[in-house]
Amino acid sequence: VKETADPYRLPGTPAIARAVEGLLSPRALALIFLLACLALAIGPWLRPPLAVDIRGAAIPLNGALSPVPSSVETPVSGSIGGLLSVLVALGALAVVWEPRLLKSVAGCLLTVAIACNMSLVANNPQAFERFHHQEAQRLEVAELLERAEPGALTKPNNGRTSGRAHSDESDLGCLDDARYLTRGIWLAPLAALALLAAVPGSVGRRLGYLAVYSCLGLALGTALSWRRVVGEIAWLDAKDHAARCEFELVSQSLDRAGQAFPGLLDQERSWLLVGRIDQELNRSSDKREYFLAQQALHQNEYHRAIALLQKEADGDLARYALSRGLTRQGVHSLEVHDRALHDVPFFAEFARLPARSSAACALWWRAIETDTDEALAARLMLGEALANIDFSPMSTIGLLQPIASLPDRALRADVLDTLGDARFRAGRFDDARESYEQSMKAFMLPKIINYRGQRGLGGL
Amino acid sequence: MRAWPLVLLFAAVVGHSAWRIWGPPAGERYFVGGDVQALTGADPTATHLYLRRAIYCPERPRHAWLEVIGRDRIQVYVNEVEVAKHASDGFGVAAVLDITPYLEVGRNVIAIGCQRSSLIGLPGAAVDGAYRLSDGEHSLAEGDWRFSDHYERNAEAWFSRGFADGHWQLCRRQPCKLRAPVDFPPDAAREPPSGRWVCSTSTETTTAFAGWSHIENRPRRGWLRIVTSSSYRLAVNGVVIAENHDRLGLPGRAPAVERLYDITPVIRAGENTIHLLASSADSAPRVRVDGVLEDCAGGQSRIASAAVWLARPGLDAGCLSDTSDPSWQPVRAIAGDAGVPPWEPHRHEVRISLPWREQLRRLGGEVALMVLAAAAALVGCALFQRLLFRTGSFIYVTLLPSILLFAVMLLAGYDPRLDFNLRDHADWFWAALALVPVQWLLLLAFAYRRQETPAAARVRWGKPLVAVSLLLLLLVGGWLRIRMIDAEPLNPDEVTVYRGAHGVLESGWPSFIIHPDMPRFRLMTSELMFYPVALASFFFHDDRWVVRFPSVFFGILTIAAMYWAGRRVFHSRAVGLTAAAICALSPIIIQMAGFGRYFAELQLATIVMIVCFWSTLSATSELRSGWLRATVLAFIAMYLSWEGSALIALGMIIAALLERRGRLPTVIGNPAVYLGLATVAIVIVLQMSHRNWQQAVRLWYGAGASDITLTPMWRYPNFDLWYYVMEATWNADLLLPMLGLAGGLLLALHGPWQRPARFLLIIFVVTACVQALIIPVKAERYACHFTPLLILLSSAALVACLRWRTHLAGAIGSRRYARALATACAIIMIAVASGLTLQLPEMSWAHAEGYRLGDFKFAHLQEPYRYVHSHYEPGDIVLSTAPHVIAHHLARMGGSAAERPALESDFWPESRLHLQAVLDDKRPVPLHRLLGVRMIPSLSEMERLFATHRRIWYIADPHFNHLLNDERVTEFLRAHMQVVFEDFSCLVLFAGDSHRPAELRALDAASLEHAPSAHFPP
Repeated sequence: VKETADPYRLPGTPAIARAVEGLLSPRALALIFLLACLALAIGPWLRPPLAVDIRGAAIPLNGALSPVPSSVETPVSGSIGGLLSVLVALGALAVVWEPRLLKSVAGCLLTVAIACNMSLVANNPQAFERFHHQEAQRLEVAELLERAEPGALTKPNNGRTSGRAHSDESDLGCLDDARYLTRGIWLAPLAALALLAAVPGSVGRRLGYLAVYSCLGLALGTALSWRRVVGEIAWLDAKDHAARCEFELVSQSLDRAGQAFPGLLDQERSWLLVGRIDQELNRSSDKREYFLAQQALHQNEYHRAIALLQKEADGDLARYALSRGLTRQGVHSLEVHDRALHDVPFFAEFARLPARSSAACALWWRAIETDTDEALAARLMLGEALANIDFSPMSTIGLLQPIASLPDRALRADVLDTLGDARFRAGRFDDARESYEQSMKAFMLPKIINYRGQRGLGGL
Repeated sequence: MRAWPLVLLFAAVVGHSAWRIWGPPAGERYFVGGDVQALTGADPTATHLYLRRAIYCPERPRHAWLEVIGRDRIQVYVNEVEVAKHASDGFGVAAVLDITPYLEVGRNVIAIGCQRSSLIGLPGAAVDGAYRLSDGEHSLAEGDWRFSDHYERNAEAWFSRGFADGHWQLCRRQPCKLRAPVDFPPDAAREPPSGRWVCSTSTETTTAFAGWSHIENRPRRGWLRIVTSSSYRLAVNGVVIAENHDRLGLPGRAPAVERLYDITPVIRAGENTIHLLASSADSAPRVRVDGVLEDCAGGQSRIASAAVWLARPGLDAGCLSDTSDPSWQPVRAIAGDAGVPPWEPHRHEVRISLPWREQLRRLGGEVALMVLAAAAALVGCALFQRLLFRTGSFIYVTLLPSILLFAVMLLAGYDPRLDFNLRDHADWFWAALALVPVQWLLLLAFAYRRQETPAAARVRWGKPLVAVSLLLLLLVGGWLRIRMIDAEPLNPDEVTVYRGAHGVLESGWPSFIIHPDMPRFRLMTSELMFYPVALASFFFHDDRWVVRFPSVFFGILTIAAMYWAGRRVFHSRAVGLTAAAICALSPIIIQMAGFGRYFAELQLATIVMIVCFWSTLSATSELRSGWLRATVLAFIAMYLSWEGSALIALGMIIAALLERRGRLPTVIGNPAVYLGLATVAIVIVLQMSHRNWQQAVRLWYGAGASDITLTPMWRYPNFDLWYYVMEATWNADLLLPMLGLAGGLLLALHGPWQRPARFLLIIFVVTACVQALIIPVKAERYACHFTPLLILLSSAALVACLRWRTHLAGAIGSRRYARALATACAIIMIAVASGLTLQLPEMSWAHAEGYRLGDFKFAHLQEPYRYVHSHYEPGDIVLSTAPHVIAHHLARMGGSAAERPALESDFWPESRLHLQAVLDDKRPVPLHRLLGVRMIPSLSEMERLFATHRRIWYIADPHFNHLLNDERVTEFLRAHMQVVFEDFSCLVLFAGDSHRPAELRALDAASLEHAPSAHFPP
């Protein structure tokens, strides 16, 4: 095959070619890279399982969120998103002036991205604990829906956060929390790629630069997370001492952990550790009560657990545990009495057990009243139950409407389908149609089919 | 030649291997089996085997164990309770169980289900075991084991105690080799309890117990079994390895639980101390402990709680570490079972976790060994470097063979077929390590005898050797592909291909008639695929050869194309040969080539198109117009093989712009480029118009899997950006392919192959990510056309690793030595990376969905059809999940139409619209979209069918049934039909006219409470 000797050039194309060449110039490529960085910096950084994403602009510079983080939270002094935006802007000026500076700009961004992500993971144990609770709730809801509704879309493994879903959230490590990081974490590999491409010379030299900037990032991240690291080491020491029955040392280690990072002592795992020691040493304390309540919950002794938790229902942890206990007791009270309720659909036989079903509904009502923010499983179960037993669609609508806009697509689709069913029963056909439509929009893929929405909307 | 990567790698593998051998023992793999007697049925080709044995126990056994070894998939029931279920397609699977709690007084039934899911699978299982009564031990392996080749249920399911198995035949015993890994020490299940119940002499509710055991040599493995109803802490040699506080603080008597611990990581040579700190709510804790420690010389030492053990009351720091305190007193041994008979406690296997400081200490030890290995390598290499070369750092190349051998030994620990533990092979360690000084001495010898043959006198073997190698690869690759061509019957998609290809012969276009009242259905996807199949039908009669031979042929051509691509893109015969070798041996590519669909054709078209595109762009001045035309043609072929492949265009555009940066007027101003683009656009528009027309010609009922539109997938929870990057692998074990990709990335940064590597990398990564971003279905087959790109990149990276060969040959003056060293390294790397030699399913974090060689790929519907055919009576009704496959087999049967029974699928049960149905032009009745068979859309329709027909057959793929039908319909079918035949992934259910009274039906319902796991599994 010979090369074309003298090709015919189309008129006007040199200008287009120059424009495209301009787009592919080192300056332009560097600016494109920085634009991508900017998008990631101000985009979502944290993904709670059942709440909307938290963006870079809502995360303070020290990475410490409030225990109940919100996407609309405005930090008092700057934010991670803001800092990175400033860096990107400075970097843009630098690469426009001298494109060879891209390696320094990319290196700085890599360092800061690693440090910010580490700090975010390390400095928010309580916020992440809240995420664990949401994840556990979702798991519970998925398991219940699997039995309650044939064709339900919510599955244990299709939540917003990747990784395993925990039913027992008391023993999670700090590293496991990294699964809640979302787009912001991609800044690091993007900057690393740009650094590798921008450094001139051999592969070894490029990898050397990458290693230096990464180590800088790790060092900076460790410095920002140092209090947590010290606190975590002390906490692990406390756990080891507790295992070896060195109870005096446990208190000292916990004190050290609390001094280094006070939030650690408010975590559920600390309550359980102290509660267990108090139980072993026969010391009365609120943490001991909490530990005993959790023990009872694990052994399905709901009455005992609820009685213990009701004494301590002031704290967030106890309220959450009480709500969860009430929800589980509602389900359990039906399961133990009638084997038919093991089968799909869960509520098919519900109406013929009026006494037990009304008891279960009462428990779920109490669960909702106890923990108004998080009692998702109870709300959903009660909604389904009311829709099935006494055909009171308006109650179902009232219960489910507040959670019809969850960011979790599969769960939202299921809630909307149930809402659609309830509205259909209530004779509100236009509203039912709208619910089914929204449900189909929320989740309908060629091989993961929203059967309920499809059937509701088209009668198919 | 850079020394530091080699030194780092050498230090890592040598240090890690040395730690595995001489460091504290780590988590073990345990193997059972070897030369065994397997229980088999009458038919060696059967895919299912159900085994049963009933035993009568006049008293409750005090200990009973069962060992089952099979292949692919096994399921074990004891008295209707599922006690084990293991699956590992293509590998051995085993269960060693303590079944004491499940045996009762009277009749007991042990039932084992075996399923073959690969060509090398075995329809059978080796069974061993025993149960101990007061008159001694009785074997479970001997005796009358009976078998059936299909799932049976009359009044009760086949694994139930009440099931009448009198009509089952006796099993045959066949000697064979079966070996499989198990998670916990098998002896722990086989050994009867040897400890006595002990308690403290005081009445304190918290008591510490201490016991000892001694082993002479380096520890090998150890296990411990603890039975108690108390909460406790367990420490071995002062390291607390387990805490159990399940019922701490809760009143009431807790049930006793038996927990098994693999304590291998914490045992040591000499004396081993076990401390147990137990607490009970209201009485003195009682425990029973036993176990075994084993050393590397085979010596065993038993641990058993007995009167010599010590105990002390209280809860303080000393109770888990020393026994010198005078408060330690001998325990009180309790006679008998202490109210806890051996069958009562629940059994749990518990994995231990070491305290973090202990883990850190061990990590420190391992790193220290690595540093030592690095220092030794550096000193030795520096010394010989000074002696041999003066300059450069070629001496470090001598580390490479050892690195590879150590890596292979470490990876072998993840292969379930190999009972390989480095701890038992210290001599292998020394042999691999000795390779380094041996090479130093060899190089020293070469240095004193620098008499290289003059270049003019040398015979050039390069080209003929490459030609022979390529021919060999084509032959081996061809044999691997052809030998499996008829291993499985056609699957539903292949049947559609067969029908479409017949349409080519009838009307010139792939098409067929669905229903007389519907227009002829012209296929609108992968149109090009049908013509080679139509051509093959002139040469072959067997439908499997007709459909699959073109695919195999394209697969063999792809091997040659890979060589051509390596030569053309990287200008290297070595890259071409390496790529061809990986392609020829790749299990995933071989399996996809044996699939009579578009995959092999698409792979070939893609690699040809990419090479043509590179050849077009790589010219220094103007584009090569001939290659441009070839690119256009190849792109059209690729697009008509699978439309989704057009998404590669985005990656191609970016790669082309970057490749031609600085010379873009030669692309943008070239009219031939626009002509080519217009040609491609016209083909795409025509194809899509035809697709839309065909969609509009028929009346669709519902939405389904065939209704794919581009969707922003990053908004969905199942989005995975790297899915197609990983699924493009040529080997189901991802580790080495992903290392190859990383090597490709490094090549794209710098060096002589920077441009082609960057070009391939951009096309590969961009296209894979774009597919993940906008295609709403995820399947590994949609990544098959990227696989050649990944192979090319990895091959180039591998060859680049061995590029020192030429320099080394010059430096030491021995071309042969350098070549032999490089070739040996390349062969080892290709052999390990291909996926044919080492298989690493136990490396669970690095897995792709692709097939392994020999795996069955799809449901075998042919034999079920034959079974129904041979039992069919006029008036029978046949339901099927794939009615067009039934129609195909009917059409393929010999004899005239008059001789054949009128066996056709009558109905297609689909109570939830997973697949779209179609409507004909006359009736509002949903029909199967490929055959026009009537759909059963609801439970009520199904009930009506059963009410109005006497005999009903259902040929079902259980997985598809689960997708097509909701739980109520499945439950109805399960309750009213019986399994009468099974083959891989499919079964025949039959509802006959023999009436079962209500009493039997009630029994049925009761037995079905256990049945769903094995019958229509979800």
